[in-house]
Amino acid sequence: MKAFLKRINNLNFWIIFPAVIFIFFLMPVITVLSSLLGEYSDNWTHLYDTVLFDYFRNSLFLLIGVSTITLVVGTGTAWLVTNFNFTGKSFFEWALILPLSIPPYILAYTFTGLFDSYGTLNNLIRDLFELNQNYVFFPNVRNIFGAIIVFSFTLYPYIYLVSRSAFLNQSRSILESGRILGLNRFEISFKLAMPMIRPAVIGGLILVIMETLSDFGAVEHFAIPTFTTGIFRTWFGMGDLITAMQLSSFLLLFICMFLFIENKTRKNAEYVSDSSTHVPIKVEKLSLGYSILAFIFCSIPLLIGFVLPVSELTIWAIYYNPSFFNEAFLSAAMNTITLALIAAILCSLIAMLINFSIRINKNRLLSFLSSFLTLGYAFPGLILAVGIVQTTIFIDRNLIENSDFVLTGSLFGLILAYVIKSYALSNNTISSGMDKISNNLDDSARILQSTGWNLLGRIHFPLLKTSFYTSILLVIAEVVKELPATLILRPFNYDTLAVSTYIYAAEERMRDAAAPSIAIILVGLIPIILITRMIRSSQRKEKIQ
Amino acid sequence: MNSILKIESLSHAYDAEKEILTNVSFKVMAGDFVSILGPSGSGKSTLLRIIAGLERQSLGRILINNQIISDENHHMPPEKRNLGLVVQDKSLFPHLDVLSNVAFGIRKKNAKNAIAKDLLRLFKIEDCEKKFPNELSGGEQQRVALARSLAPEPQILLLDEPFNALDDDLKDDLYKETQNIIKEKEMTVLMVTHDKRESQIFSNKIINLENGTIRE
Repeated sequence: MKAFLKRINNLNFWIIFPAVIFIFFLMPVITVLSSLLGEYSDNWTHLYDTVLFDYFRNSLFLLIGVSTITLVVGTGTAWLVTNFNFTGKSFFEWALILPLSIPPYILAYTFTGLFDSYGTLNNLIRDLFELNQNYVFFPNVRNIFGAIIVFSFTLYPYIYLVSRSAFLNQSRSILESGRILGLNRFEISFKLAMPMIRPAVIGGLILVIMETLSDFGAVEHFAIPTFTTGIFRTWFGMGDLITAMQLSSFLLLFICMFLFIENKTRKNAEYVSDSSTHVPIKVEKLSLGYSILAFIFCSIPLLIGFVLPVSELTIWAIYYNPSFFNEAFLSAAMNTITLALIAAILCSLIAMLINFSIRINKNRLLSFLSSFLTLGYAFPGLILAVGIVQTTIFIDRNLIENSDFVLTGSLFGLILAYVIKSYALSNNTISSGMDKISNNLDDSARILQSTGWNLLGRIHFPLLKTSFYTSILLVIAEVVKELPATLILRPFNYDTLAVSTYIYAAEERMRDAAAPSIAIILVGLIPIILITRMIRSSQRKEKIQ
Repeated sequence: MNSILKIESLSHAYDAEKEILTNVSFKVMAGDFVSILGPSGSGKSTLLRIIAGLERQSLGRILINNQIISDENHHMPPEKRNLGLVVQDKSLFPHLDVLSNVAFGIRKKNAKNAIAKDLLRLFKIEDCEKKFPNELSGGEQQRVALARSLAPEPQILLLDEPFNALDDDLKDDLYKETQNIIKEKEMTVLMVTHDKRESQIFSNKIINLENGTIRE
């Protein structure tokens, strides 16, 4: 009792703040999961009898297809650019990340524009070979196979990045031991190098799986019934929020299972490298024939995931829509920038305060709270939106007791969703920045009577400025792309670039979707430039050492 | 004469099996320069960190000017103890120039820069005031660290192997300068070191610490 009272007495801002944030993050999740304990309506039975199995089967088929292709493309390209010298290698090293800037829904929109019966590429083939106007060369992409291609070629960079980093960290001496033990240079890759990067690759694969399960825009455009489209239709088509929440809960539990696997995998990832004995791997020069094959293998994902969609969008924007900067575009862009900036600053501030709090309190519970908060990135925007709507309705009805809705339908819910989704990005950036600040600096500052806000303002914040601004840029890039939560939580008539793109595409006004899509891609390039710079600077450091 | 610092039956352990310090007791008088001499792992840095308040002892108590600042029930935080600390890696604030580093702990707002500049002159580093820590040599960094720790006029200066990372010629120069400044300021100093010669140059009292225990 005495110890408990002492703890209560020790409560201060640096303990209370993370706890309050934790509650804000937890509320929508609890709200969604609590629906599992409620009553199941007739709509649930109807879904169970008719489409629930389709949702499950399609989601599973998507996962298997996307996982297979991303694994082959991601690890294959990473293996080539890390272990071999071939034509274009230094270009591919960074260019292979470019498809990350394109959200799956934009690739889906451009794919239909490119490959539909009267799409750009079929027209081109007919014109080139003077074929009959009814002749269709490219197959229909508005199906689950098209969706698998779309997801695979926008998400493979997750696996490319982790595989490349794992390959780079492999010790040459380990691989050379394999050669001494009788493996040739290809056997070394398949029997030693690839198995050694397995834990890192699984980590990347889980990210791909979660992104695929969370997506709404692409599967909706291709009219594939999955869990996310099912949740949306149940809520807005049937007007049944409770059943939508119950569906969300199942998807959430499914995702939690993958999170658990990812966590286990990360714990076992230690055998990839040992920095104290690390000798960088030897890069081998490929012969002309192999060099051409490697060039083609690396070009394909870049072509499908970046060059084709960007070319199609540029054609739409330049040739078909002269009023690129029209009023609707400018208003959506302004709304997007405002929202993204608010969310990014909030997210970065919260991450900085929580990490600082953990540092000065050295409290295990706070570390646990922080790791819980980072799980927000894994929750699909649609589920968050469902949870946040229910939470704000509850607060409006019970706490504010206003006959009008104050929080529901306001920007509050939307910004909360962005902060929850993006907190992991800010946290990772700020905590790694904070790790670089020696504890001796804190000690020296404390001896010189600088503590709490003073210590944060005078020592930590100035030293964390780069991490702080990086965090802001990363969150902005994430928020600009976000579609499902924005679509549901935005105030009435409040369009963002992602929402404009979605609405134009839904109305088959693809050319009008070009301007907002290009703007989203341009902002999405920010983290790629940052990642490329970070990789280059670490390579330079390695060379110096 | 009253002791300025009193350590009474101080013990410390990070886990139940291994005690870092065992029943350590000693006194430091005002104006003393006391060295705690011991090999690596003897617990001397831990002792200094406990006195500074950066760690809390498992048992025993610490008194400054006959006032208990730390015992089983009470622990005064480091920022309230009015001590100075210089550690081996200097811990200069990398984003602040030399003048701002030295002025950091001075509470007299109007006189901040004047006091800091005086100290820079005293340590012969006035030319470096606009430089940042990464632009300084090892000796200059050490001078800045010493100046910064003296700037708030602490009642006791704690030194944790402050000259360890310097080469021998530089060490001798800095020994003399530090000795003069400490005398001029009439400072009370508690230094931990593994270097017997260093402890003999500075101290009027040497305490030998071995395996966490004071050896008589």
